[in-house]
Amino acid sequence: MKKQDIIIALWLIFAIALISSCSKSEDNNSQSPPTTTVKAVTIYDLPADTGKKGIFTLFSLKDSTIVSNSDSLTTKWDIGFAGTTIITNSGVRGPGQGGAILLKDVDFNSVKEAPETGYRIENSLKDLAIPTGSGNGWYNYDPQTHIVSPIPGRVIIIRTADGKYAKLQIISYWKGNPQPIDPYQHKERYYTFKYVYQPDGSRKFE
Amino acid sequence: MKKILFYTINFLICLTIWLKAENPTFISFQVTDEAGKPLHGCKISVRNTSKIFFTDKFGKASVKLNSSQSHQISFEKAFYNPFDTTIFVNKDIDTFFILVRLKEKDIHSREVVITATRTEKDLVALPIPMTTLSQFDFKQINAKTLDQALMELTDINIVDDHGRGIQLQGLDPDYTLILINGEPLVKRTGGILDISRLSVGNASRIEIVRGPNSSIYGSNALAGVVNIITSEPENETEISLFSKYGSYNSLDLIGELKKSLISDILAFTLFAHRSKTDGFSLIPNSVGKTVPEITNYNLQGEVFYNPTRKSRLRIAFRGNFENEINSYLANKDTISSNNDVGEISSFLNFKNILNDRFNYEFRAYFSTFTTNTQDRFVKTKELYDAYKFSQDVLKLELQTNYAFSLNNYMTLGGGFITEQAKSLRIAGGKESNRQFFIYLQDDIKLIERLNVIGSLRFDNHSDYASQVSPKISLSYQLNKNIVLRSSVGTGFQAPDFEELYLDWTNPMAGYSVFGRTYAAEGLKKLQQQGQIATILISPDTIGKLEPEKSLSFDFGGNFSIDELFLKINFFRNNIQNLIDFLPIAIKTNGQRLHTYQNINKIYTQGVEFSLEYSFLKNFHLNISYQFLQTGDLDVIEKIKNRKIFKRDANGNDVPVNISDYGGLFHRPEHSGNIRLTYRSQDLGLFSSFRVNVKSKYGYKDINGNMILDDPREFAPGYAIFRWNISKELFKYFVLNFGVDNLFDRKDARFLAANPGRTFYFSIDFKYIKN
Repeated sequence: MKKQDIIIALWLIFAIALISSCSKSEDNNSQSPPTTTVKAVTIYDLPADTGKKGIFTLFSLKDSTIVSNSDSLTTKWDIGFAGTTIITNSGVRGPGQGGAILLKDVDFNSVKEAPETGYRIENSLKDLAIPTGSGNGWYNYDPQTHIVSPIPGRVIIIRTADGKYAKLQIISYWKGNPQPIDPYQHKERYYTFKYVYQPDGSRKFE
Repeated sequence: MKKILFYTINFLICLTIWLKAENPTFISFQVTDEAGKPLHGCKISVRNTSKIFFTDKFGKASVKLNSSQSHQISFEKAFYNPFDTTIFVNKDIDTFFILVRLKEKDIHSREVVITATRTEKDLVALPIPMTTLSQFDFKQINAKTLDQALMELTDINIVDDHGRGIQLQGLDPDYTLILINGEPLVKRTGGILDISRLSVGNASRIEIVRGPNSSIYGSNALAGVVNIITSEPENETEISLFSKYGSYNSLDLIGELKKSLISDILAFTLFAHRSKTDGFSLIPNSVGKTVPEITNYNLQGEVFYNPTRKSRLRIAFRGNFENEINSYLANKDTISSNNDVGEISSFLNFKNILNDRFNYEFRAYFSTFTTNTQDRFVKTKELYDAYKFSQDVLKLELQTNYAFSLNNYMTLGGGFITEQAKSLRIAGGKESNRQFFIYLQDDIKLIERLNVIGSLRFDNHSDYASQVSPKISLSYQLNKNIVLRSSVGTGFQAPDFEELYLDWTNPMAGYSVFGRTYAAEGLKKLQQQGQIATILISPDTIGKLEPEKSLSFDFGGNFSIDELFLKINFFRNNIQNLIDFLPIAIKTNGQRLHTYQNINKIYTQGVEFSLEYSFLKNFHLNISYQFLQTGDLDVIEKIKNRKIFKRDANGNDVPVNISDYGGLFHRPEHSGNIRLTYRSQDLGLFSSFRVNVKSKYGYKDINGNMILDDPREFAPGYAIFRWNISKELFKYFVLNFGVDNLFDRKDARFLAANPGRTFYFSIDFKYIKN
C-alpha cells in the first residue's frame, strides 16, 4: 500500500511537471473566449505511461489539461492514455458518462456530427471502448521496425465524462512527431493529437 | 583385300573398310562434326541388341556385333541432329570401320542445360525461360560468390534483408529454390539464405530457371530455381589456387584439386574457399557495424566412379561454415553478438543407363544445419540473449527416364523427405515431419519445330494439405533465327517450421506467437496458466495452414542474327495464400497471442530482356534489363473501395488514389546491368566495365497506412559502377586488379550493405596436366 502511495505521489509530481512542459495551441483565432463555438485543439507530446508502469495520463478535453490521477474516480477527466491504450471515463474505468466510437475511413474535417448511438464503454479492463491491437483501433504496429503509427482515416468520437461530444485524431505516438521515425533514436509513448470539442452538449462539430 | 564404301545420307558419311572376315564382327566407329573434328561423348545405340556406348575424346568407339545380320544404329549428341541408320554386317567381313559426320542443328545451340527439366536439354530451343552463366563469365569478373555472379551478370534483383537474397520476377527470396548439383540447401527458418556466403569458386555453370518449377521440384520453386553446378575432373591433374585481397581487410583464398586416378573410371575433386572481411560501418561512431565481421568457409570433396561406361556413381560432401561478430546497444549497454552457422551435407548419386531407351538415377541426400547466436554484455560477459536452431533433412529419390522415341522422352520420379528441427522456440523443443512425392514429365516433339513439355508433381506432407502442381510449356522454332516459347505453371511454398510449430513469447513486449499446428494446444496451456483474457478466434475453427500457391504465365522468345542474340520474356505471377499473422487471443498482460493464417494475394508482372552483341573482334556487350510491376490484390481492392486513407501535408485524411499505389515494397520498376568486356587472347588481356542499375523502390511505410503510396516512402534509384582488368602471365598465372563502386555511392539508410569504393587485387594460378 505504502509503496503504491509513493508511486502515485511521484507520478503526480511528474504529471504536474509535464502539464507545464506540455505545450498546447489553438488553431482557431482564440481572441474571443470559448463560448458556444467549437474549437480545434492540438496537443503536443502528451506523455502516456512513459515509465511503463501501467498508469494512465488522464486528460480533460474541455480544459485541455492533464488531470491528476487522484481524481481518477471523478468526472474531471474524459480520456486517459497509457502506451497505445486510450480509455474513456466510463464503465469499469470511471464514474462518468463517457464512451467512444471508432470511425474508419473518414476524414477528420468531414465528420460534422457525432453519431447518436453505438457508443462503446469500458465494459471490463480488457473489453475497451476503443479497441486495442494493431489495425483494430487507432494505430498500426510494424513488428519489423517496431513503429507504432496512427492509421490515416481513423477518427475517434468521444463522449466525455459529462456527456458532451468531441472528435479526436491521433497525429503521432513519438516525441516531437519525427519524420521519419527511428525507433532506436526517438521516444515513443508521447501523443500528439488534435480534437474538436463541442461544449454546448449537441453532437454538432460546426 | 581392301574395299572402301562411301555413302552420304543426311550428313552421315560412312567410310567402310572390309578386312578379312571372322565371326563375330568387330565394328569400330569414329564420330566427327562436319569439319572433321572428333566428337567426344556421342551416344551410339545398337537398337536390336540394346547396346549403348559412347565415343572417347578421339571420337572413337567400338563394339562386337553378330554378322550376317542387319543392325539398327543411332547416333545422338547434344546440339547435333541425331541420326539413325541400318547396316548389314556381311559374314565375310571381319572389321567394319564406320565414320560418321553429324550435322550441327540449325538453331545454333550454345549449351546443354539440366535444371529446367532434370534431363539434358538444348538451351536455345528449351520451352522454359532460363539464363545460364558459364565459368568463363564469372571467373573473368572475379565473382566468387553467388550474389556477385547474379548481381553483376544478370538482371536479377539482389535484395538485402537480414542477408542477401534473390528477388526473381519480383518475388521474395524465399520463393527461389537454390540447388547445388540439383540438391537443395536447407531452407533457412526465420531468415533468408544468404547467397553472399555461397561460393561459386568451383562452379562450372550456374543455371537459373525463371518461373515456377514446383511441377518437378516441389516446394520453394515458386519464382524459379538457381542451380550451381560444380566442375568435374577433365584432366589427369588440375590444380587451381586463387587469392584476392581488398578493402576492409577482406581476403578470399580458394584452392581446388581435380585428379583423375584411373582414366575415365575413378576421379576426385577437393575444394576449399575461405573468405574473411572486417566488415564496415557507414555510420560514424556507431556501436554496431553496417556489415559485420564475417569469416566463411565453403568446402567440398567429391568422388566420381564409373564402374562401366554406362553407369556413374558420385559421392560428395559439402560444408559451409560461417562466423559473424557484431555489436549493438541495448539500454545503454554494449552487447556483443556472436553467430555461428554451419551446414554439412552429403550426396550420393548413381546413374545407370540400362539400354538405349531406359536409364535411371538414384539420389540420396542428407544435410544438417545449425545456427547458434550468443549475445553477451561486453562489460560483464554475462549472457544477454541466446538462440539455437538445428535442422536435419534426409531425402531419397529415384528418377527414371524412358525414351519412347527420339521425339518422346518421359521422366517419372518419386521420393521421400523427412525433416527434423530442434529449437527452444519450437513447441516441445523438437519437431519432425515427413513428405512423399511423385512427379511425371513428358517431353514431346509433336513436329520437328514444336516441342511440348508437360509435367505434374504430387506432394503429400504430414503437416499441410497435399499439393498437385502441373505445368505445361512449349517452344516453336519459327525459323533459323527465332524461337518462340510460352508456359503456364503452378508453384507452391510450404509453411516453414516456425509457421507450423513456433512457441515464442517476446521477452520485452510480452506478446506470443504460436505456429499454426501448435496454436490450439498452446492456447490451452496458456489458459490453464491463467494467461488468457479473451479468445478472439478459436484455433479449432480455423483449418490447417495452406502452402502459399502461385499460378504463373510466361511468353517470350529468342532472336539471333550474326553476332547479336536477344532474349525476351514476359511474365505474370499470381500468388495467393500468403502467410501472415493472425491474432487469436488477448493475454492478461494486454498483449496478443498470434498464430499464422493464409491471407494476402499478390501479383508480379513484367518483362525480362537480355542482349548479347560481339563487335570489333575483341569486344562484347551484354545488356540485361527487367521491367517490373507488383501489387497486393487485397490492397488494390480496398483502395478501390476507398478503404485506405493517407494523411496529406495539411494533416487531412484523404482516400488513397489508385494511381498513388506503388505496389510491393523493395521492388524497383527498372533494374538491370550493362557489361562491356574486352578480351584479347593474343595479349592474354581482359577488361570489363559493368554498371548495375536500379530505379527507385519502396522502402517502408511512413504515413501509417502500411502501403506504398507516398513519395517519401521510396528509396532513391542508384547505379553502381565496377571495373576490372586482368592479364595472363607465364602460362600459369592471371593477375587481376579491380575497383567496385567506382564513383563511391554510399547511403547508410538505403544501401546499408553496400560499402563505398573498394579496391582489390587477385592472383589466379592454374596448373593442368593432361
